[in-house]
Parts: sequence; C-alpha cells; structure tokens
Amino acid sequence: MGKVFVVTSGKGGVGKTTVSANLGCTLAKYGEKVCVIDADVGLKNLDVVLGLENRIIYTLIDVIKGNVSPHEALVRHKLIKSLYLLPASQIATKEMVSPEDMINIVNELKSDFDYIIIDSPAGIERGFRNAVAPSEQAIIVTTPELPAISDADRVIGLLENFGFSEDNILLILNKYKFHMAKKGEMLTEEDVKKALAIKLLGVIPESDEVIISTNKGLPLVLENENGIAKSFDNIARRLRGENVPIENDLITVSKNNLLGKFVSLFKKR
Amino acid sequence: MWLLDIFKKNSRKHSSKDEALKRLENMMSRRRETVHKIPVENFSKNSEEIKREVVRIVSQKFNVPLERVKVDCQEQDGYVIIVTNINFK
Repeated sequence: MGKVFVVTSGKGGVGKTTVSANLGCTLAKYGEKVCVIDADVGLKNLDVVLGLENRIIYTLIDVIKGNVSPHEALVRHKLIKSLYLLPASQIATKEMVSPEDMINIVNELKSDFDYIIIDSPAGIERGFRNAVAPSEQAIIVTTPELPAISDADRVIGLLENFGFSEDNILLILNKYKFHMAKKGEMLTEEDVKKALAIKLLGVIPESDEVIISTNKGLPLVLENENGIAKSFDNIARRLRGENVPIENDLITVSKNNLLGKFVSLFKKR
Repeated sequence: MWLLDIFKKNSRKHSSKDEALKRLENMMSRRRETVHKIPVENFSKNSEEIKREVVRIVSQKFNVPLERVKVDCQEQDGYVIIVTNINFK
C-alpha cells in the first residue's frame, strides 16, 4: 500500500506545485512508483511543471463522472517511467469534486503505487478539503515570510482538526535565502520551525533554476544533481526513512549561493 | 559631528529579522487557538449555549456589556461560521 501525502500551504505562490513535481520525480528516480495528483481543479499547473500538458486525454473529472477508471486517466512521464500524473481539469470547478470522490480515487490507486502525492490548491476551502481527505501525511510548504508562516499555522490548525497528529505534519521551508538569513534580514529555519512547532522535512533555497526548468517543462531534478536538486534529494531520502541531517540542506543552500554567484559571473559574459 | 552621526546611524540600524520575530511571536500567540472542532451533533444540540458562551467571552475580552454583543451562526461549505457583532458605542 502506498503512502499518501498532501502538499499544501494555505498561501499561494510558495512553491507547492514545484515541490510536488520535483519530489515526485526524485522519489521515482530512486525506483519508487509514484503517482502525483493535481487537486487544483480549475487552476491546474502540475502538468505544465512536469511538461505533460500535451499528453492529457482524461482528467480527474472524467474519473469522477465514471467515464474512465483512475488508472486509465493516468499520464506516464516521458522520461521517468515510474512517475504518473493524474491531471486536473481546467474547465471544471473545485465544487465538482467532493472529499469522498478523492478518497475513492486514491483508494483505487493506492495498492499500485509506493507514493501518492496530492498537490493541493491554495486556500482552505473545498479544494483544500478535497486534497486533504485521502491523505495520511501532510507536507506544509512555506517561505520564511510572515504571511506564508501565518497561513501555514492556520493550515496546521485545520489539519489537526481533520485528525492529523503533529507527527504526520511535515514542514518544507522553500525559497530560503541563505545570505539574507546570515545577515539577519530574514527568518532562519530554526525561527520558522520554532514558530510552527512541527517537524522540519527540508530547506530548499531560492533558485533561478525553478523558472528555467518550468520554461523547459522539465523538473529541475531531472537536469541537475547539485544545487537545489540536492535539497530535493535530501527530502526524498528522509521520506524514504533515511536519516539525513537538516544541516545538509543548509550546506546545499550555502554552496548554491556561492557557486551560483561564481557561475553567474561567467554567464553574464 | 559628522563622525558621531555615522555611529548614531549604525547604532539605530535595526535588523528586519528581529522585527519579523517579534511580529511572528505576536501572531502565533493568538492564531491556532482560534480553531476549535465542534462535532455537528454537539453543535446543533447546544448551539444556543455556544452562542451564550461566545457572547460571554467576547463581552469580557472587549469589556462591553453582554447585550451589546450579537452572535449568529451560519453553515457554509461544511464549516460553521460564528459571526460576532460588537456595538462599542
């Protein structure tokens, strides 16, 4: 039986879809069979980040209507064969899906996958509840900024009300700017962890690589082994049960910053 | 004098992180406790009692008489929303 994670945040633009796509790819690179589900009905993006937007035939709505089975609607990734996407529809609304629909779909898929990652929409309304309903564990994505942390806290409260224990809610700190944190101009991973009081799963540095990879439709972990991809690798290994210290992410962050500056000197010319 | 000004400016410089930490602490001290789960049966059975309790807490918190606090409950999208109206005048 596969493990079911929801990637959520409350606030929009913190990197939920980027995390879902890259985490799915990284786990699949380790040979795990992974299904990523786009629960952002109406504002879907996961297919675009994965570069699969032209391969979609059926969507979540077709499955709910009973036109096809969940397996028939899956799109296999062109490069990583053990990664599958269950796409969302752009013309439907979140109200056309219920939490029960999502539970039924995930229950049908669960036995065939090692990991199911559900990309939640922003907000705490119907779309959020749909994404959370079939999940056993939640990954909260936040940035080190007050509005994102405040929304993350609200979402943690809601998840606890949905029956999630603190152990099943994990935190990813995204868009971390090492040089700002070092200068005391930004909250550190320790500050955020202390405020939200949940387990820190990983720290991902802010990187230009994200925009470049989205432009190409190729998740960055498929192109690089270092930099930000290393953070995703650390996170995937932690999810697989390995003991990888958080300090390793900060080394990545630091290296990424120094190396990035050095490389950019040559790129400009 | 200009030399003194330089030092003054530097000593006045306040880290934005310290400011963020202070605000974060303030926000966290009152955020998550606002979410309480009430089973539907309990809520429908005791809605009047819950309303009275909300009125009591709000009137104490804002130091206004009980009769100036109005509470209404609405179900929306699966959540119960407690609307509280306080007349301060």
